[in-house]
Amino acid sequence: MPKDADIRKKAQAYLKHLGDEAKELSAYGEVTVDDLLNEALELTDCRVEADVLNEAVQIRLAQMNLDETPEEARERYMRWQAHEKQTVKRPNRFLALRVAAAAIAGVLVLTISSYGVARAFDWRFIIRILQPFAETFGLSERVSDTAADNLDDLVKQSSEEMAQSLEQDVDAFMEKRYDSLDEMPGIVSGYVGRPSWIPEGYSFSYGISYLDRNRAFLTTVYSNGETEFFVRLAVSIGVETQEDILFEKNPGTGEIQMVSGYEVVFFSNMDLTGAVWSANDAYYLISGYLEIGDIKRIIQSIYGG
Amino acid sequence: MKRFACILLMALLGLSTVVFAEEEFVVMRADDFFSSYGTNISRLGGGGLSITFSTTAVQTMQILGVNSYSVEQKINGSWTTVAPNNPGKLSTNTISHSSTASYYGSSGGEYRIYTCFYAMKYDGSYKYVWKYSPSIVAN
Repeated sequence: MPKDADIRKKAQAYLKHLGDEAKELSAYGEVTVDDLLNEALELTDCRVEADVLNEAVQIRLAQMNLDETPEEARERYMRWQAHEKQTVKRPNRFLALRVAAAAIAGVLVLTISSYGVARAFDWRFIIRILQPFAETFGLSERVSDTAADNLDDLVKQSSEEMAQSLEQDVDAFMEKRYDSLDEMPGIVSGYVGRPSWIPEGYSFSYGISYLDRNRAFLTTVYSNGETEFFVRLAVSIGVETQEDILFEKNPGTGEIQMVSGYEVVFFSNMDLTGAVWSANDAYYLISGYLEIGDIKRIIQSIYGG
Repeated sequence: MKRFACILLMALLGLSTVVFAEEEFVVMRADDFFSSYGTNISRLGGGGLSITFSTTAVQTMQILGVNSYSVEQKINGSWTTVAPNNPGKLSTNTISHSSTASYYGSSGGEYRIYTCFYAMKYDGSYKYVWKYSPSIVAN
């Protein structure tokens, strides 16, 4: 079915061909070219071929032009149509534009959808293929966070190179690592940072401290040679902050028990057991392959029990 | 045929929208890489914000930290990324990571941080997780 715009375009072309006659019609003051086209379109209701409509147009023109019979008008129209058919076809720029627009839209939509699905299912192979497309179309503002390129380069580096790369990123606030318990601070801002009791078989492995404008962290890691557990203390330093921390856990776990006067949430994360509790401006996190009873004893030892 | 193709494309577009939308809601679930991750924001004055990232892993990781982060500002009721894909910091051979960044916006502007945390085990397997921080109004 021809579109209204197509019919109108073809009719306009014929009217342009008519030239003087069309101007003469306008001069009559009885009808404008647009009126004529609208009338013809209304008559055909867009359900006929463009040629039929054009014929209706030229007949209508003839009816208003007293010097030309409908037969003469139709004959002239047929000559014009024959001439148009003999004219060498020019490249259809509009068609090319449509195809290009459709191709871009298709790539865009497929990139969005495929990329979204790949991300949802963590199909990294697809993510890496689509990443350049997503970036090209500005779709990966967040998604480009997934770009493993930098990290992949990092992973390919040797340990020394990796250390140098990371070293370049450090600024005034640096994590400090401790390989000896004696060198490590035990109290931060009045909060005891590590337990005085740990389960049998475990020993101090390493510790990490960090201090910036707002927060102080102290992580103490213990190992029994096969598994590890850690005690982490996080303290807010006297400024108003907005914080949101997420603790990974198995669905359905999260039992609150009172230990040393604090409400401690015990939960499981895979095969690990975790415990988290807050104490004024601080919170503690313990995580490892531990029994809840051992974690309770660790907590009690932090508070002198 | 054209209508069918249009409907199919719209359905795919809708599907991807749903996928992206779901990722904005971080739910608690078990994880064999991370045990916790979060972002702390405080005001520095003059539109400045101090951002503290912290994460812990289930075991000592070869690499752990922040792959990248983006700063978003609420403009006309919608969150708009104003500083995308800033590089984060990474630590090696560690079970915990903490780092700090600053962002200077405009006083009275409401901001939040979208962080990509990263962990890689010694066997080469790795994982990313994304998390929004709470929003804060800069002073």
